[in-house]
Amino acid sequence: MRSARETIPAHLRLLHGNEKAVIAAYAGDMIDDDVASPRDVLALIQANVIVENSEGVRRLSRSLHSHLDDVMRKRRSYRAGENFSGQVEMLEKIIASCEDAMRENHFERQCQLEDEFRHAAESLAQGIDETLTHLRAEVDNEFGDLPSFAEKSRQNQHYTKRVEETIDALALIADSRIVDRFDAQPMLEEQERIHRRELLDRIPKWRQAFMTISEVLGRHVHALRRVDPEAKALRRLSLHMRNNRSYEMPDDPQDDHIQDWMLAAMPLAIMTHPDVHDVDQEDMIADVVASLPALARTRSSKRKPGILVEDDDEPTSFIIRRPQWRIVFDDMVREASVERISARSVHARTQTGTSLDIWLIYVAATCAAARSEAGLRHETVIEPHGPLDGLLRMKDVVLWTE
Amino acid sequence: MHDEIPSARGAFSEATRTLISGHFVCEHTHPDAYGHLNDHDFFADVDAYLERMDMRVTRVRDGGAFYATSVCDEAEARLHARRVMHAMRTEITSVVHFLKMTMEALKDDQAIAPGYVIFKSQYVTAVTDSPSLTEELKSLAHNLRGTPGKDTIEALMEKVLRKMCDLEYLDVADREKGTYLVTGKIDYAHAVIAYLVHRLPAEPDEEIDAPRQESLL
Repeated sequence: MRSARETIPAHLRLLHGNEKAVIAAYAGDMIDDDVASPRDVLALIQANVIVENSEGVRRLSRSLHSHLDDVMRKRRSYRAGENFSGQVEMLEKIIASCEDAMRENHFERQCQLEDEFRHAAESLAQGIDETLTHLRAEVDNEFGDLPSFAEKSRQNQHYTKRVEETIDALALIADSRIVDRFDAQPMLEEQERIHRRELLDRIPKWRQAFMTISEVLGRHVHALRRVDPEAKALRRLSLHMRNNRSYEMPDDPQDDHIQDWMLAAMPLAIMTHPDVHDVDQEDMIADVVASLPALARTRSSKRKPGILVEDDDEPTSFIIRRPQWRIVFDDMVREASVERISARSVHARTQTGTSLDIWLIYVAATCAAARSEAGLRHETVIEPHGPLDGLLRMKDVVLWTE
Repeated sequence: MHDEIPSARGAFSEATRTLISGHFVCEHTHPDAYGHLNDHDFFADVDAYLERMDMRVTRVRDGGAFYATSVCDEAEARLHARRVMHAMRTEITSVVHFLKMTMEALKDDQAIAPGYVIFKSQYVTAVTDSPSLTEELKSLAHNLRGTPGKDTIEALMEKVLRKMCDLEYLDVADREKGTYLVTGKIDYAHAVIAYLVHRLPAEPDEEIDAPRQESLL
């Protein structure tokens, strides 16, 4: 098996030797004989650089395509900004040379330097304009979608530095010694005009735009700094869990300070029930009862196969399935005597299909509704819910008959 | 005392009921109550109400949500803390794996914050393209309680997202489009994670900080 030292250079040579084919494939163009010979295409396919599907369509391999995407994105991301301070210094040097040429009465050199100054000033102004436009676009989409936090951080640092440098360059233009030289040398009138038109007059607009961008960037960097430790902590814990499969979260704060999250209150269930003793609520309860769905009914006899519904002469009866709590309650009422029965103990020894609270409320409400006709008596046992909360809870319901 | 305008009364009821029931009030799940809780007087009102039940309103570290905490003395607090930590044991493991997987699948190296939108289709595509993420998803889904469903990535993803919704870390933004919104409770999870990391034995963390992109270029 060949080592990486041999394989990688060979692979890079193959890519470099077929760069036209790779570029065409990346751009989604056809790979014909103009860009690569059939032999080269075969070599690229064998090296998994180009993938050919069953219909003969060739495309760049996904991994290389993704890699080139990242390269292009990085290049686009870091495009903004040039060495503006250097360009400002260059203007000063050109003006100094202009002065020298004037002193030496070198007219041709003066004209040449004037053109150079115009070109340098226009180039500087254009550079600032382009940087401004690019940064503005980046600010609008929060400085691009980069695949890793590390790169995002580096990109932020880059832009922060660019904005700061640009603002410094603007300050340098405004406070440049060139202006003093223009005042001292009336012969530099044309250069002064160019300087004012291309640079000085545009400074307020540039400065305002850069301040806005800087402000947005500052906020964005601050937001990244805030989440950065959280992302790191998450990775660290995840890595630890992966390396230690038996890891379990400790369940004791030990000597640590009790943090707020450890004191999250246990949830309390909030349920409201109508007061069946309140006559004002009778209509409302009647409405609720009327809205309840009918009990499930089961047909007692099956229709014979092949008989239509309309031809079915068999008498049909239905069995109404009572809910379990109703069955238990009816049994309890049937057994009721002068001996008192505790609904709580009945709930404990039988399957009512409900929680104790609901069961007790059901028993109390049903007994309250039925007592006059059946001679049924009941009593609810109430106890304080907690020592200080002032709430009461139903502890039990006792039934008996007179 | 704040003005008892109807909306404030409704928000008071919503806020107190939600908090007492052990839920989190965040900008995305209870926008009205959350907005009112940011008002100092309203907050003080709800806090005073809960105080009568030995509770108080607490804000998660970065302010993404409000929740109720118990008010108790030192000894009771330690007992309470043990109960909460015990209850969080299983939950936090799932949440850590889910957050880590989400960051990798969606190629976002920032910690998932409240308001982050997760598109299920994008998530499924990313997991399908990556064998390691597929394994992670299977492991995470199989460790979650619930009925074992189909073993497809779509079904496993659905199970995980539904579980995160049940735990209130996610909220369904649009069921048809499969869009989920990260809730303010995620800041609570980050607080727990920060505590756990603090208690981990010291480890060299080069592997954690190594930027993945560097190795590609």
